[in-house]
Amino acid sequence: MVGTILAAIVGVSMIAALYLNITARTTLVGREIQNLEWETSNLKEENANLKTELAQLLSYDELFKRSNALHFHRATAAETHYLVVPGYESKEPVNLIHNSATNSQNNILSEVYTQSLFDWFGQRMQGGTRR
Amino acid sequence: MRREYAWRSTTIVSIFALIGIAIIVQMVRIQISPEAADFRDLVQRNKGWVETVFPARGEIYDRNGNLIAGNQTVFEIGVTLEQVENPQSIAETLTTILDADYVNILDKINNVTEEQIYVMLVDYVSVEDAQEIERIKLALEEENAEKTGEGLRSLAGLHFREHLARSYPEKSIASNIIGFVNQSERGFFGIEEKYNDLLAGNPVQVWIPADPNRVEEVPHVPDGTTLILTIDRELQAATENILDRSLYDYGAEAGTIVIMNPRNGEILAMASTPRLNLTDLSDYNLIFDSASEFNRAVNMPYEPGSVFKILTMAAALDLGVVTPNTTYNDTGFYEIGGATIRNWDNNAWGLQDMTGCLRHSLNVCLARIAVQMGTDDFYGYMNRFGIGHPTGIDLSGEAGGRLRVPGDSDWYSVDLATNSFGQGVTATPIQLMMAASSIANEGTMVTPHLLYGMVRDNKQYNFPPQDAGRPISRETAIVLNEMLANSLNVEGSQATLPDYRLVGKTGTAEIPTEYGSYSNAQTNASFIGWGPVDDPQFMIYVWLEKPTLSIWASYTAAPVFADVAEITTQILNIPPDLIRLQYAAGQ
Repeated sequence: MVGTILAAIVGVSMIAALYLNITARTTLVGREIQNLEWETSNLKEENANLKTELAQLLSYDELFKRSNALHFHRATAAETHYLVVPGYESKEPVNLIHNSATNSQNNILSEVYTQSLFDWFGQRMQGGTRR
Repeated sequence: MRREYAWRSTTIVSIFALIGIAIIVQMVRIQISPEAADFRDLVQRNKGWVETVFPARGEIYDRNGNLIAGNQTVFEIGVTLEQVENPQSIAETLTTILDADYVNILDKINNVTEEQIYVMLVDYVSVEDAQEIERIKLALEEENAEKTGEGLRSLAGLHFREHLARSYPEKSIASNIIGFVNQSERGFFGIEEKYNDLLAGNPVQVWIPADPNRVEEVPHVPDGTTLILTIDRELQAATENILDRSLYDYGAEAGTIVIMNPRNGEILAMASTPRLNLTDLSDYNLIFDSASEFNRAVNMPYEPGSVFKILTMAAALDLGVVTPNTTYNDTGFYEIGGATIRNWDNNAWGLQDMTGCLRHSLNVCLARIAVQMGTDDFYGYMNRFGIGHPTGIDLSGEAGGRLRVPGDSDWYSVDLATNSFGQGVTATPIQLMMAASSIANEGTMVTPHLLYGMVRDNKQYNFPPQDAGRPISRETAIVLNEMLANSLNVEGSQATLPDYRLVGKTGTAEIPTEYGSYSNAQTNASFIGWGPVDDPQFMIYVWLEKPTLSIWASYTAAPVFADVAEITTQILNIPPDLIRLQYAAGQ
């Protein structure tokens, strides 16, 4: 009888310990996510500041001052020579997503984090066939 | 043996049972204790909090990816009231560093309600200033640690909260297009006002749970939409420089220059005077007398004068009332509705064809043509050209101008004649550009616009150009294009550009006075033109208000057009006609 109760206590304790362990780990991960979100928000703010700072350094007035200091001047029509360059395409307006950091982050993210088990299996199979 | 040690097992079980019972008893006791309500309140308070999340305002870029409007960190400085030791020190420091009002700051700290725990003192403080104040605060804390007593200088209680605010790295460049954001984060004028909802995003009230296990319950609040404009920063700055120089050179009061791609309606540059430095909005009331001065190109209709003649001629050619070879004998005057219409120089120009009519900008000629067309056709065409209606350009506060038509109480029969050469009718430069785009663009009129694309959820959406109808046929547009090019390229014209064949028309308009008559001492000098003739890639509108060096557009607005056309060909890499045609032939 006592042995049974003790076994039950040990069993309950083990389950409780397991539960506690999982809950503690979940909480830690949750806290980590909170910290990362906070960090993300800080980085976004820092990014916005750096973008503004960069834009100020590359602003029209600043570039004009720097080019003047280097004794550059805007080419006049008489100083401009046009060449026919086969295949030349005129400059298209900017594509911000093409250059964005978010996109490059997606590219560097390992497939391990994105592919499903089936994708992985298919990839391994294809790799085996190629071999 | 087993019986011998049974008491030990029983003891262990009993201890565990007692501990378990004690825990349960304690739990029940806490639940029913008098402090239970306090505990429940405490839990409720610390479970989380409601926060209004303001998304970062979307950025604004030019077509080449130059940041025109971004965001940067600023600080809100306030006080936690119960921690304040010396309000005078706080007011004194903020007054010294931020040039704030001492009495106002002191008043804010002292006149608070009982429930208040925090008071905001100043906002939008730069990072440098906030850091300086924080440095003083820490220095005083260190200094006071070694002293005791009352009346010590102290910035205790001062609280700094950082947040993002609008930044304009280009300062005054394109300010008339961009508009600005006030301290309530609301856009005023231009793009900032027109696309305020897109740029600002949606502020969301969210419940932030303190429990890290519920972290996923916090919704993601997307930032405001980023916009890409059609303007080219280099061209915009160069155009503004030319405009400023022109006002000085010709003694004009104000002016505007707009450059548009007549093929798709993209605005490449839009300069207007005066301009506001967007990093210092306090000058607004000093610079502008009325809101319509913020961007004359879209907000301020005026009587455009002879630039309007190209629309009258387009309508007449399209209707078949005249052909380029139609001739008439110009006697120098034309009587209609009890009034006499005269040419700009009061002279008779004799036998003229329609190209000569445009080249010499003959009022009598256009008045006769309009009368020949009749009111229904003339006003029908003007309506199709969009005169009297806003163009729908994506800038706030666009004015529609006024075209009086038969049936209006203030329309008289002489108006048909005067309207034909751009007097008695008001329009904005952008309206005239939209109408003229039909001539440059083989009959199809385009809607002028500034939004090239937008970035949302990591996707860029580009907007296709929009047609605004076909007021005239392709054939009419080609014929008139040629007529205008021929009329411009005459000896002595100051609106030509070597190696490029351009199209253009001057407009010198008398300015109506408050007494209903016209002042012939002051004029509005305008010029509309585009090029290259065979493949128009830019359309330029120049308007100089009350030039004093000369009242005539041919001596003021025309050379400005040539300057702008030259810089436009350079910045947009448009080669001279010969090279361009050689290249096209080799393709």
